Amino acid sequence: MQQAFWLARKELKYNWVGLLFTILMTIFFATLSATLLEQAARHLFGSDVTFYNKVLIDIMFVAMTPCLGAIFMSRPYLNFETVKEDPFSKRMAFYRTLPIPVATLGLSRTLFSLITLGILSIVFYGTIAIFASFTLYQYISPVEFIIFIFVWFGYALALSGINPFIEYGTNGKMLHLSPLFILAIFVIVLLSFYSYVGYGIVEWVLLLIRDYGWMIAFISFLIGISGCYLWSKLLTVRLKKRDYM
Amino acid sequence: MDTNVLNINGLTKNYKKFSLGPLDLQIEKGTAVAIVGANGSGKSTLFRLLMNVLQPEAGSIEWFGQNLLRKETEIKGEVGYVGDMLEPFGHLKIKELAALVSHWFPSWDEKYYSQLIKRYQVDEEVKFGKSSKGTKKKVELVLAMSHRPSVLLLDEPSAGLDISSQRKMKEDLISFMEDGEKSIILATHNVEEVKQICDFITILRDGKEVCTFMKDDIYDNWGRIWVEKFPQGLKNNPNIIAYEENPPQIVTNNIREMEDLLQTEQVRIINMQRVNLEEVIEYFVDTEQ
Repeated sequence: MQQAFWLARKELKYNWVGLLFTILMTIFFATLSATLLEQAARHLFGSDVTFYNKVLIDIMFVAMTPCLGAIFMSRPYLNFETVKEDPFSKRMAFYRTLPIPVATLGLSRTLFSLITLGILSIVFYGTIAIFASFTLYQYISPVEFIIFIFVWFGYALALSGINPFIEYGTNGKMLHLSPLFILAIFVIVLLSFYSYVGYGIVEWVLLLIRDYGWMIAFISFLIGISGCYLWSKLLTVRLKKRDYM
Repeated sequence: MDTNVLNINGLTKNYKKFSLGPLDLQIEKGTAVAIVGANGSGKSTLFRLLMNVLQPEAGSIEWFGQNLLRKETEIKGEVGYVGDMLEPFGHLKIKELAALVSHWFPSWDEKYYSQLIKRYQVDEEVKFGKSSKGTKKKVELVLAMSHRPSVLLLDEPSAGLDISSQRKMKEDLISFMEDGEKSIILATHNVEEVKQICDFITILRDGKEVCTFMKDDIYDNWGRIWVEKFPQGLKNNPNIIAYEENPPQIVTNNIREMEDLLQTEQVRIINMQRVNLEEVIEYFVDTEQ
């Protein structure tokens, strides 16, 4: 654990520029989300009729929050040469030549993703809290807002493990193709959800929080921890079995 | 007692257009083995399999009598590997790279590392990615040697090195072998390195092992014999490595036995000459058999 943490910290140090740009982009997304969340709360709990884009807010939370586990504004994500160069695999190939147990490598990637998720989530939800503070609290209480954060953090925790898995368990081609697959799945899930439930996903979560309170956060967190554990195990197995070059 | 540092049995790796193996190879402790072959013959693939960076389709690898898959971390702690793996860390200074690598080797000798850095005139403050090809190789070699490994696994370590650094590298590799306890596995295109450092030579062609022989055996037993007429009955003789009918000549790995045999067959010998290492390597590397 200590060695995995050491490696995760080193990696974070090597990627500080990418992290900085990712933080800036996260702030941008958060300001947008703050406005949308406020509109969603007013639409659900306010007395006046509000029209807003529920698809956009669902994109922000359902698709965006799991990405907070990756430094998505770093070179490999922004450069299509990654398809050919496959820098994540090459980096891991080097680590595999060192006397580092594969479990330590897998854990270090998970820790790296968790630290990134932690930092970016603080930035994301902190920015939302600052930008939406006054108006949002007219419709949802501060406690409900905290539960809302925990629910989405749990969700992100469950899915963000896919980031290190794609980075180090697949190749450069998959790194750029996987968002397309995920987007397709996301569209299907979203459309099915709208037609069966009748609400947007974020709207539905807000309603669940009002009805069940901390229980929803607890369930989400539990799923998050299980998902994180599962992805970490999958990554370790994959690192053991794959070709790196 | 098993004195082999490396035992490879039936090792196979398949790609769409290339297959390595099945390979069987044993390397004894205290020996230096050159793996020689044309570009694309499978040398780097073999080395990556030996470091478990690639997964074989079949076969097993044992280092120091232990299975690579079961004792991977312990084994890697004893191997110094040079194989062009540092490129993704081009944004790091050389001293940062050294810090990253040294952390994982309890046997890391910081004093020896500093000596080598000075000897090869490497500026630690320069980013690895900004270094010349030769400097990159020097850094790889220094990092591979500084943890005092039992085996050096070197994939073309002198490619791009200046003459002075090549000489220093050869000296360091020879001194590495001095106590008789350590081994080198060296993939190279440089015959001088093979001559000065290695005891055995394994030739790879199209992913297959063509042959393995002792370097000294070439000087002691191999030779080229020009004859009056090539005896057709000897075509399949195991000691004949190559023959030409015009002018009639034989390359053999046992010159004395061949001389006796030709006399028995009443074939007149016109001339005899020892063959050199370059000729032998070139023959095996280039000739389809």
